[in-house]
Amino acid sequence: MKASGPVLRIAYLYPDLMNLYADRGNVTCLERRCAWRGVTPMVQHLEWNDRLTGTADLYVIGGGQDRQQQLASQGLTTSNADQILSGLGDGAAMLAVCGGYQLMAHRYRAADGAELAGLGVFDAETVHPGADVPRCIGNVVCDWNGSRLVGFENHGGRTFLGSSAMPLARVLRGHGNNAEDGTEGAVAGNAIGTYLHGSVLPKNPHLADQLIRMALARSAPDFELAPLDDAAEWAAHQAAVRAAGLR
Amino acid sequence: MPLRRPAAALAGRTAGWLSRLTRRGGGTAVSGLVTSALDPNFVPASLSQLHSTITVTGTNGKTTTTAALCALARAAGQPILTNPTGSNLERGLAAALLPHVNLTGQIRDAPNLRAILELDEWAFAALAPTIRPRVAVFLNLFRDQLDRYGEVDRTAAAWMATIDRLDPHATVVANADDPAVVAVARRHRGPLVFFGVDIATDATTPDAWADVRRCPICDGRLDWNRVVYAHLGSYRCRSCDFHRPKPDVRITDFQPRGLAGSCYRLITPDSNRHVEVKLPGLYNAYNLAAAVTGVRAAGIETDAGSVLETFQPAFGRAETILTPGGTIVLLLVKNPTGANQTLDLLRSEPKALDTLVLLNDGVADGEDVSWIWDVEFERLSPRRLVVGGRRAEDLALRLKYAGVAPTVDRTLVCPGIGPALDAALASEPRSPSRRLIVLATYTAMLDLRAICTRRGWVDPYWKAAA
Repeated sequence: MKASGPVLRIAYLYPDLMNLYADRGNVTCLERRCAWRGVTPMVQHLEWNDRLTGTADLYVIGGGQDRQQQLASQGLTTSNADQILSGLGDGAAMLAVCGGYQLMAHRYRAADGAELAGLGVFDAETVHPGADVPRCIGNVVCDWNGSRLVGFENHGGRTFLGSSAMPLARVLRGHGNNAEDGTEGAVAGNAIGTYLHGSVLPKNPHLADQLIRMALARSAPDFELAPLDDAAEWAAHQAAVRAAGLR
Repeated sequence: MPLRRPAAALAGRTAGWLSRLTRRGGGTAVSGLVTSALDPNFVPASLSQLHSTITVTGTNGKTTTTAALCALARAAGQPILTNPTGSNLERGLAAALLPHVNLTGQIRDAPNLRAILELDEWAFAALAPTIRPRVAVFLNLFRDQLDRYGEVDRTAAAWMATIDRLDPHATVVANADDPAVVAVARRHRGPLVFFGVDIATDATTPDAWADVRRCPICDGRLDWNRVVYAHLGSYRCRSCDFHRPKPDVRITDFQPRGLAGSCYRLITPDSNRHVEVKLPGLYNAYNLAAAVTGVRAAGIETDAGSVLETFQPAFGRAETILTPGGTIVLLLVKNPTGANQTLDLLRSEPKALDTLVLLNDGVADGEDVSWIWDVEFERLSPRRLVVGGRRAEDLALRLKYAGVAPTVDRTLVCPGIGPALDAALASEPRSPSRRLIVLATYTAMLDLRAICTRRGWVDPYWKAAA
């Protein structure tokens, strides 16, 4: 294993709150795929009440329960908004999943009408249509620039993109952002928001590597990610495609 | 009405008999389903005729705790009625009642009969107010199949609403070590007793996949001076008076003996003795403590220690199956906490083991397989390893990122259950003394057991459990 490569600094936001759907598999995946290429991953775990210190190349946040999401919203907006927004402005990358994705848009209106403020990274907002409306649950396959992304979604809120927002992907199976317009997730600069669990990165290695490339673009623009043997990754990807009823 | 109940019972039994005749399964689900559909009041009306009812609910350990409660009550000579195959929704209760119903729709020997029933977390919330348990046992609250059960906080909120509607004379038996359970239990207006595990540990932060980190009463910060596993342990809130209550029944001096069982001291208000049980793992120490606390709360007097020492694991819970190629040890895993506890158990075995891991994504398993990324497979160090089931490829990927490599051969990936079992049993040495550890999700376990039944290695589950 090469050890001479660059360092990739990951800020893992609120793993103590936003940890419901095993999205920490994304961090495991990033760490391993970096290490296999001689990139040294350094992960900072930002817990509730912590302030971000230093800069990060990649911000990662997962999905959580309603109450924890409320706490995370407070923590983000009161303590860490400036740091994250200026980091992204300087070219850092982000992966925000489910509840984390909702918090990175303008706002989230909960089932009881309460509003949670978001950071506005994505020009989008999320409305929960009420506790009696079925959640969006199931396997998802979508088209991402001509290749596929797979995962499992489980969300009550419906996210609607604003006029300046770009969807991440187009839904082939599943609900995506809102079960209406066929969009899934959002992209803003180097930030990616998505509803996909699974965990999403291990079985979408092309997305994982895209995030690593974007995160390294500033500090190591000439570093090339060596190809890996991704047979196991694509086999799991294909199993998820089959589980969604596609081939 | 007078004819409805016997007719519903007869129709249910007929349906169950047909189901077995056509080999579609044990017939428990279908007989109960038919009866409850024809007579929606069948379960509460029948249970109300009995001496009393004990319910067991919680995420993990329901089947084992219920079986242990039954063993303790039977040893005291109490006639009991139970739902032993893990069929823990209303239809399962109906099916358990059916064999005790006479032709006029009455329960035979009702005044002496006690019901000891396991209930799914949501079935408990829905049914407890009408079935009026005398004793309600709450084991724990962990994340489970999120696409089926939803968020942990929602289950806790449903329990909160239910506990206010329990009979104030009912006794609530609760796990002192689980803050989520204690927050619910302490709302009960009637008698409240606790069980817990006192072990020395260095861990003072809940595991990464734990669901309770903040005070369930005030959202303040919880401090643990001891974590047993997940979020179970000894805790205190920094902001309010919420803390671990003193357990009435405790387990101390826990010593694992691998898959063979465990030894510990079982301390109740009137006894303190060393026991050697066949049930492995700390999680089963909680289950047995819960059962002992439950029978005491029900006023059943029995020599708990000796009964527990001979108590055998429930179906699929460290059950052993003899095959010509080796002895299968079957371990059901269905959520991160249970799976991580099972991996800890395997780690307490002295030697590397031949291991088969089966992952299905049926409704009963959870269609979302994300949870395997919360399972610390990094703890697994098998001798040989085969992965199977409908999502074998997801499992293989998880194991790759966990860095798990068997000490002999490479990991074999065999989609399906039969081929994976054959591959796992094909390796040398093929002898009954060789052990094969099988970790399987719910439907994978049923499929595996069905294969073993067809090959004549084991009885069908409805016979094994009876």
